[in-house]
Amino acid sequence: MIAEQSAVRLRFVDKTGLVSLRDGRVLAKDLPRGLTLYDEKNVPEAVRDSFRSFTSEEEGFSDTLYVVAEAGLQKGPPLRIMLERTRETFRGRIAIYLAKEAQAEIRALAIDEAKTLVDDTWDFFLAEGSSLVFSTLSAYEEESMARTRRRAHVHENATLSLDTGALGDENAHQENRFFLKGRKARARSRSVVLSAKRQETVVKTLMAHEAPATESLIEHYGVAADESFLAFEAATRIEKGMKKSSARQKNHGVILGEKARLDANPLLYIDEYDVEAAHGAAIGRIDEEELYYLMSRGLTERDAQMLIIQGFLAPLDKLVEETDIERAVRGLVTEKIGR
Amino acid sequence: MAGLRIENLHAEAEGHRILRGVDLCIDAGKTHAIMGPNGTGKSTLASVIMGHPRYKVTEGKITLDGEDVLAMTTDERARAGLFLAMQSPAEVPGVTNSDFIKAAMDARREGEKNIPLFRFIKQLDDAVAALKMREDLPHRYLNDGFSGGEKKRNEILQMRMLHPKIAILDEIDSGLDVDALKIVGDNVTAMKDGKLGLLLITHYQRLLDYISADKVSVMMQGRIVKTGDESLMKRIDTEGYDWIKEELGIEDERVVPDDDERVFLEKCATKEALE
Repeated sequence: MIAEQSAVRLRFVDKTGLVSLRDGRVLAKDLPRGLTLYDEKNVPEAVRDSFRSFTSEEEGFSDTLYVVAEAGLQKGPPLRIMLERTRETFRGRIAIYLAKEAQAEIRALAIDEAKTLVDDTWDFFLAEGSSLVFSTLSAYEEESMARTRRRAHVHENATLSLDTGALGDENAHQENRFFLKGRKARARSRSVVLSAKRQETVVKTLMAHEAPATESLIEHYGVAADESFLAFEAATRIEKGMKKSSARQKNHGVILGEKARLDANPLLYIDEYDVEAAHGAAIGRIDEEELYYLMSRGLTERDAQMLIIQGFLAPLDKLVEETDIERAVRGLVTEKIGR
Repeated sequence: MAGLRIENLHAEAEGHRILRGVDLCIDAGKTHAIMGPNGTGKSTLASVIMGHPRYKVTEGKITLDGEDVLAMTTDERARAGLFLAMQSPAEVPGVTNSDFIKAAMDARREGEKNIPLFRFIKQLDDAVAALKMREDLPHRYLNDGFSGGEKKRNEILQMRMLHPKIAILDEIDSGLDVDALKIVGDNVTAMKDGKLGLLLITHYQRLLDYISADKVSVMMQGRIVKTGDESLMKRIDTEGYDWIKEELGIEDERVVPDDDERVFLEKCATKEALE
């Protein structure tokens, strides 16, 4: 289903770590130039120190993988990371470090067929002037529980663009926390969630403006079908003195079925006058007029609904460009709500 | 005879009786224009024929080539050959025009293979050129951010792609400037092939400068009150509707409740509303 060339496979097998790190040479062959992988033992001290404030002792990760982009790296082909899981209680952490002025793109894919308990942490450190485009798609089995934490420190003039798509049948809890730590740091977080059956999904995204002239955007897109429950919590905090900052939030949701529930709580905490901020939420059922219009041209109700939902999830197309993944995504959408 | 037959049609919306006994025939190959003041039920008639969920038919019959239209769902009506060019079509962000039109064309080819992609692209390009629309139309989202005139032209473009048996054009002329009206008129006229039945709903005579009509009817009080040829329309254009009301003893021609038609400023912009 998914192209494997140049994909880095991290097989989480036991507490000692990642198998693919053990035969790191094989991995290194597929790595885009300028990117290096380290484990806890061989990671450079400076990189490990950068992440020190992210972690507390209690977190107790089973292992950490470091991905490091060297200073001044020009954007090349994306690094593809594929996550597989064969054991239930692995708590993995992937720490992505961009040195000054580095540019990189990373795409991660997590699709498991076993019922699992997922507990992943992604930490991002973007040094001055760096830029990262990160996207991740996940689809786990029903009865899985996926807990995903993403934390980012974005420094002066650095830009982080993060896209996540959750299309599986698992119950999920996602927590995204972005700290804009330097002047003109920018972060955009876009989450797309498709929930169906009796799934429960909570997505929390926090943007903390801790420097002046910083910019943030939170976008949440969701479809809640059947008896599922989906909640979006968007919080943006602009501290006093962080003048000329700009913050925006968008929450868009479609509810399918009488028993589905979708909540959106957009929050802005602003302690500074000289800022721009906007938030909005548009949640509702499929518009009757849209449905009627499409059906008046001959589309069946089901086909019309599917077209409207596919259109609503158009941001997913930007997330995945590879045609095979795109096809897989469309297949998942049809399978989940097109029954 | 082939065509759309409407007999004694009654329909209501949210408890308001709007259609009160419409009798109308649109024969294959013929063009029938319906005129009438605001609020007399013209657009409701178009929506009821297409099966808009807001309206409930309480009495009467509609058949297309003898088939019971009222027993069909909206999509079945479309696949049977009915087409409605809407006054204000919905905007559907995220769905491109080309995806939508292709899906609509494929839906009509029941049991057959989907239309080959290259043939589809060629047809769509030809239609875009004929209607003098922006070249990027296929990739734009359906009616999303379209001007009023672009929406109307997009309706005619779909009609051209879908080849209906009976097409109802609901005030296709409103919001069009003279040049756009001519483009739309020429395109519709070019689609007249001796088989297409057309129902034109309009306020103004000017549409009929571009699309000739075989019959002209006037609608008031939710039914057809007078039928004639183009001379009827010309008289309305110079004298208005009062003479018809007088002739038929009609005092209030309206059936659509006021608040359905337009919102007046003084109704919504009260101080209370602002607070």
